[in-house]
Amino acid sequence: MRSRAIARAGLLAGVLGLAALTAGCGGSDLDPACSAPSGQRCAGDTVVTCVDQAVTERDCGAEGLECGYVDTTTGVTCVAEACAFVGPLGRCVGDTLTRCTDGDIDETTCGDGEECAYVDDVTGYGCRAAAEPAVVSGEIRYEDRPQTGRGPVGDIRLQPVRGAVVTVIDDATMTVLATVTTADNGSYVARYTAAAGAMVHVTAVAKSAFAGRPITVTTNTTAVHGFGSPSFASAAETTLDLVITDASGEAEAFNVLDIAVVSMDALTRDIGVAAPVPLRLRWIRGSNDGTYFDGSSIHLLGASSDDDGYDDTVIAHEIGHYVERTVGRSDSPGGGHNGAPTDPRLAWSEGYSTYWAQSTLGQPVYSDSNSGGGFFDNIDTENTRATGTGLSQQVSEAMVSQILWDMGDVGAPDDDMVTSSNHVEVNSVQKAYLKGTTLRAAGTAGVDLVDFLDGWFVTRGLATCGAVRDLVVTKHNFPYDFAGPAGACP
Amino acid sequence: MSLPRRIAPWLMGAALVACSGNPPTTGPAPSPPAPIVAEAPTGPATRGPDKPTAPIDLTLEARPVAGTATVDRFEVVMNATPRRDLDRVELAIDGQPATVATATAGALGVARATVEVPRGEGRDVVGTAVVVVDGKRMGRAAQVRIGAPAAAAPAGTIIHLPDGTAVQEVRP
Repeated sequence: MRSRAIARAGLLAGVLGLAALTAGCGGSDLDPACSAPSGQRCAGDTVVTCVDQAVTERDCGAEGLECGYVDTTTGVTCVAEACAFVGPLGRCVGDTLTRCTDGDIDETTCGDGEECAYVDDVTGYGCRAAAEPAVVSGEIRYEDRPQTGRGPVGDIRLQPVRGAVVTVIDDATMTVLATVTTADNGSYVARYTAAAGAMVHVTAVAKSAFAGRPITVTTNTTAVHGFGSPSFASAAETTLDLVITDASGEAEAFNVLDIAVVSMDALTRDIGVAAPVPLRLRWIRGSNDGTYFDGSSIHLLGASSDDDGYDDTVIAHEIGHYVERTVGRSDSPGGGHNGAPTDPRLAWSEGYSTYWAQSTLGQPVYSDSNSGGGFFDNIDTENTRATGTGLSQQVSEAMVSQILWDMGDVGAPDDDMVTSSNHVEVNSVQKAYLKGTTLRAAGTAGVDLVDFLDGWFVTRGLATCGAVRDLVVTKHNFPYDFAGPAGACP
Repeated sequence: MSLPRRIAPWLMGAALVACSGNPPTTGPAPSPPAPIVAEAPTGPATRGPDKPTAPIDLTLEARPVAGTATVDRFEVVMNATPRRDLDRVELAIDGQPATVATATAGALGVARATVEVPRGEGRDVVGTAVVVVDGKRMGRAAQVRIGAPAAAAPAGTIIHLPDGTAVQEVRP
C-alpha cells in the first residue's frame, strides 16, 4: 500500500491566481496531472491543470479555499472544504482511496492484489483484497428545490445523496448482493458477485448506516424510502449514475435525509456527541398528518397544500426538538405557537429549535413554503422586544431565536453587540449545562431563556456580560438579572 | 387540526445494527425480515407542538351540488378563525380570492366557492389564508378532496436489507 498524505496548508503558497507554467511539461518531466483522466490534480491547496501538456496552477489557499475533487461533473477545483466531498466513510475513485481525518485529506493508492472497496459500515471504504468479479460505481443525486428565503421553494437543482445506503439487487430473486454507502459527493462503489449477464439493479435507500448518522426516512409505514435504477446485466465493470427525480415522489425523502445528515454532523463535530440517538423522520407525498416531533420521530407534511419535504429550515427546526430531547433538555408544555408572546418554556423550545436549524444550515432566514405563499423570518435582522415585566413573563419564540443567533454569529455582517462567540458555543450550552444541571429558581420552573443565559455564563465565563446585556436587555427589552450561578456580572 | 395519534412501536431497532458490506458472504447472517407495520390513529396524543404557523386556523369542507353531464360541482366552505388580532386576512379557495375575512381573534370568517371536477375524476382543492400580523405577512393552507378519492400511490416493491430493514423501492 502506498500512501500519500496531502496537508491542508498550501505547498505552493505565493502562486497567485492562474499562472501558466510551461517548464517541466516535456518528456519525463510531465506533471502527473497530464496523465490524469481529468487532466487535473491537487498539489496541496493548488489546482494543477494540464491541457495539451501545458500546466497551469490556481492557488486556492490564496483565495481562502482548499483544492478538492468534487465529482465527475465538476472535477478538481477550489472549494471551501475538500473533506465535504468525502464524508466519514471515505471514497473510492478507481484504485485511489480518499479518507479524511480531522479535516485533512489522505489519499492512498491501493497496492497490487488490492482494490478500493467498501469494507463495512464502521470502516467504510478501504483497500482490501479483490474478492468479487463485478463492480458497479457511479454518482447518485436527487432533485432538490432550494429554499428561496422568501417562502416558496425554487427551481430544481441536483444535489449529491450523502451518506445513504446503496444496494445491488438481483432482479430474479430480489436478494441484496452488496450494501455500501455513498460518499459525501454522492459517489459509490459496490463490488458484488452475480452470474455474468444476470440482471441486477442498484437502489438508493434513504437511510444512513454510519453510527454517527443514525437516520432513517420512512413512509407512513416502517418501510424506508428507496429509489431503484433501471436493470442492467451484471458485468465486470459498470458505471451507473442515478438521479432521484422529483416526479418519482422520492426526491424529498432524500432531501430530508440530507438535512438530517447536516444536523447529525453538527452533533458529532460541534457538540461532541459520538453516537447520536437514532432518528426516524416520516415523510410521504400526500401526508396531511402535520409537522411535529412526537418525542421519538419527526413527522413532516407532504400535502399538496403544504409540503415540507423541501423546506430545509422546517425539517431542521424539528430536528432541533430532537436535539433538545436527546442532548439537552426541554420542558415545553406544547400547544400552538406563531411568534406571539407565549409560555416561556414553549418560547424557549421553539426559539431554540429555529436557532438550531439556522445555525446548522449557516444562514439566518427561516422559511416555510405552502400554497398560501408561506412565510419567512430573518432572525438576524428582525428585532422582537419583550413587552412584559419580570423573568417569568410570556415571550416570543422569535425573540429567543434572534438573541441566540446574535450571540452566535461572527464575522461580517455581524450587526450586533456579541462578537466574540460562535454558534458551536451557543449550541453547546444544551449538553454542557441544561442537560444535567439543577436550574435555579428564577424565571419559569423548567428550562427557558433565563436558564440558557445562566448556562451561557457558566460555560463561557463572564467576559461577554456587557455585550449580552446590550443584546438581551437593551435591544430586546428582556430583564435578565445577570445573577445566575456563574456569579453576578460586573 | 388532525386527530391525535399515538405512534405504534417502532420496529426499526434492528436497522441500527451495522449492515454488512462487501463481500456479503462474510457479514453476519441476515436477520429475519422486519414486518411492515402500518401506523394508524390508535389513541391519545403524544405529538409535540406543530411547526410555527400563521396564527389562523383553517378548515375546509366540500359538499356536492348540482353538476352537469360532464362536470361534478362542489360547494367548498372554508372556516378561518384568527388566533390573535391580525392586521389583515385574505382568503382564497382554489386560487380564487374568496373574501376578506374578519381579523379579530376568535371571530369566525367563512368563505365559500363552487368548484368543478370532470365527472368521475377527483382532485385536491386548496384553501389559503394570507395574513398580516405585526406588519409581517404569513400564509397558511389547507385542503379538501373533491370527487373521486386519490389513487393510492404505487406500493413499490419491498426489499429487505441484510440487517432486516424493509425498504419500499420505487423505480422509474
